[in-house]
Amino acid sequence: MMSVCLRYARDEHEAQDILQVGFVKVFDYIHQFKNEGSVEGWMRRVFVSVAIRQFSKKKLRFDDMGKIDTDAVIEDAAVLAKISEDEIHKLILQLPAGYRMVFNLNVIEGYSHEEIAAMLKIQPATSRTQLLKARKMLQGLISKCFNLVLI
Amino acid sequence: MKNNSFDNIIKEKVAVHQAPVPADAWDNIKKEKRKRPGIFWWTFAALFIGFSLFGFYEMTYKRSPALTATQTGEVKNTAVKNREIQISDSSNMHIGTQPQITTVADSVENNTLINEPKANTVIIPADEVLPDPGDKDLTKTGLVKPSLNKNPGGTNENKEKPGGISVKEKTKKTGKSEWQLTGTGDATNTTLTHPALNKKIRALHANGKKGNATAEMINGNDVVTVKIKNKKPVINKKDKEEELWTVAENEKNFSGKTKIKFTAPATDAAGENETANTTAIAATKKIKAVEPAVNNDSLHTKPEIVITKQLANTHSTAKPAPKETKQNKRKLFVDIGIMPFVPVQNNAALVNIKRTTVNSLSRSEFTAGEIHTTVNASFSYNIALRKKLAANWYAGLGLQYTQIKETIKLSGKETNTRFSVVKRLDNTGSFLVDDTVAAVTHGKRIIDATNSYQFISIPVFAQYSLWEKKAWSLVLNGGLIFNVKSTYKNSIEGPLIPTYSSAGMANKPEPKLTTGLFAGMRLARTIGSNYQVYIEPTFQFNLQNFYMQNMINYKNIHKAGLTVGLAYRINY
Repeated sequence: MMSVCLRYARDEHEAQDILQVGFVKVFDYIHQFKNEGSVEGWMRRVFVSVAIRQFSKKKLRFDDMGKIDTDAVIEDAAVLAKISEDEIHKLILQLPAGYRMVFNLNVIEGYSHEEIAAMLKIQPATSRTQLLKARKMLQGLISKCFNLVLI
Repeated sequence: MKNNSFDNIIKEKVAVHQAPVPADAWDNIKKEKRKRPGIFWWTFAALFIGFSLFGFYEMTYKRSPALTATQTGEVKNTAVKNREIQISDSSNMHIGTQPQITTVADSVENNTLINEPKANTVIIPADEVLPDPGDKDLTKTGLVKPSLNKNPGGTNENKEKPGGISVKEKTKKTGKSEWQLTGTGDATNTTLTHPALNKKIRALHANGKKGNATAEMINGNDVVTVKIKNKKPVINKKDKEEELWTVAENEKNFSGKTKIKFTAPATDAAGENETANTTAIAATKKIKAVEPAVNNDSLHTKPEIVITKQLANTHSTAKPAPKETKQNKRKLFVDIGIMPFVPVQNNAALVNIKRTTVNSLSRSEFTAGEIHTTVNASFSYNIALRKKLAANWYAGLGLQYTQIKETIKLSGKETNTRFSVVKRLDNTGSFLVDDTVAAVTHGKRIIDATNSYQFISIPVFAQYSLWEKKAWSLVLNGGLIFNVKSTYKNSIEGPLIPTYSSAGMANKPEPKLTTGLFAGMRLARTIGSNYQVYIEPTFQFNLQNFYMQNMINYKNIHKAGLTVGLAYRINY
């Protein structure tokens, strides 16, 4: 769960806050879990919900971060396989907050753009754009990382 | 590399990633847990218990009695029965010129009828005696006003499916699966929930894939098929105009269950007729999935389902859809509340109050010209059943118990006449005979008492939900209240006879039932799935005066208060 919190938080301190509030919520509402699906999945949704609310208080901005180099698209899956989980995690953390949020919700958690739009109170189109740019930016970051690894 | 592949690899990598947890994380969680819970509940509970205890105390205990002051007052030995008193032998007994002197103090102590065991009695020395307002001579001189009455105080779940629902999984040639729910019952008023359907809907949500889940209900000869597609509904004006059916809720609660509740439209009689005319043609209507009122703390995914309702095998005898839905029928609430209130009284104008007590050796006449009655702040206890009738409407019936304490201060003149039997010599001077001496004392008496009203009332009310946001709601509440049982406990002994300025008031009959109106604005917060706490500023206006036995002053009492309560939703 700490990993989940870290992915949504801006820093470790914020991640700990989310972790604390998330666990308190889990304890408060554990009676509502009806043994349908895994506990982990349910807890994960709790933590994501807490994280979203945390960020909605701080008015997360979904700005356009400018043009992203489209040449940095990774064509080979093997390249990705060589990068460790920790490296991927760190690269995701380098994404701007808006990109990261949408990327996490869509790619990792599996929410649709409409769901994300409703949760973050943005347009679905914005969510799609943010995801597209986040994906490209991440690919660019991975590409750079991979080059560094090769050297 | 395709986006999907990239995403899948990232997802897999992230899924196995584990971050180190700070050593003090658990301690912090425990601290947070200790801090957070119950602040709201403790406050509410403290208020509720505090009000209840205070109310109980107010109702049970009376004010501690004030000191009773008795002093010797002016004594007038006036009456000698029929004869002139003569002294024959002063050494034997004191008669005649040394009359039996009865002081006011004696009168109070000895005469049990005068004592006020339940009320506080103060006798003022005779030099402070107020003249009798009824004394015409004094009135003429202008020393006394004819009337001294100032009266300043006068102010779900699968089990709920009707007929049983079976689930079948159909696999189409295209490879797509459909879940089909088949059962009997009124489909328009049915909550369709089933784990398989829920699972399918969740899967559709999670994967972002298109697919169908179908529920089919048989209602008499009508077959109603409901398809659920994983699409974002496009609700435009046209759709809204065409919308003949509404879905009351589509909620996905914490545990991931999905409930689809179908509500018959409120104004769809025309739509039904239209459907009835299009025999053999399935009428497809888009139904808006309405986001339910959700708990803040729940993890709700937004329902993004277009629900298509197909009506097949329609008949020309199709009846208009009922206005009330099963879902609404199931919403029954029990409200328990306590209302501290400030009563506002409206007195009938009094001239005075008289009390005459007589026994074999004394007679006491008390006339209170100054009458102060005030009703104290008190509590009402309510319990009510409330049912949801329509989208924003509730109706209910309750029971209310109220006790109001009334502080009374009667001030006026009291005349005590005490009769004493004395011995005297007869005219011949040979024999002793009995004679009676009357000692009359005047004094000012103040009676300070606490009486009480008790009401058992039945409120009949309607509620309209003005505003709802997340767990909060604002509800307008109003209705009629019937006081079915009203009693008055008078702690002042003796027959008190009030004289009203309105001649017809004195012998007012005692009505068994009085009615009133009340209105309030309820601010409620939903706690969990079944509880609601609320506060409600309330005003109750009684339409009639209270006329009860032993009442000192007929009056009307209105109430302005703040109800604090707890509502519980009964699932049935």
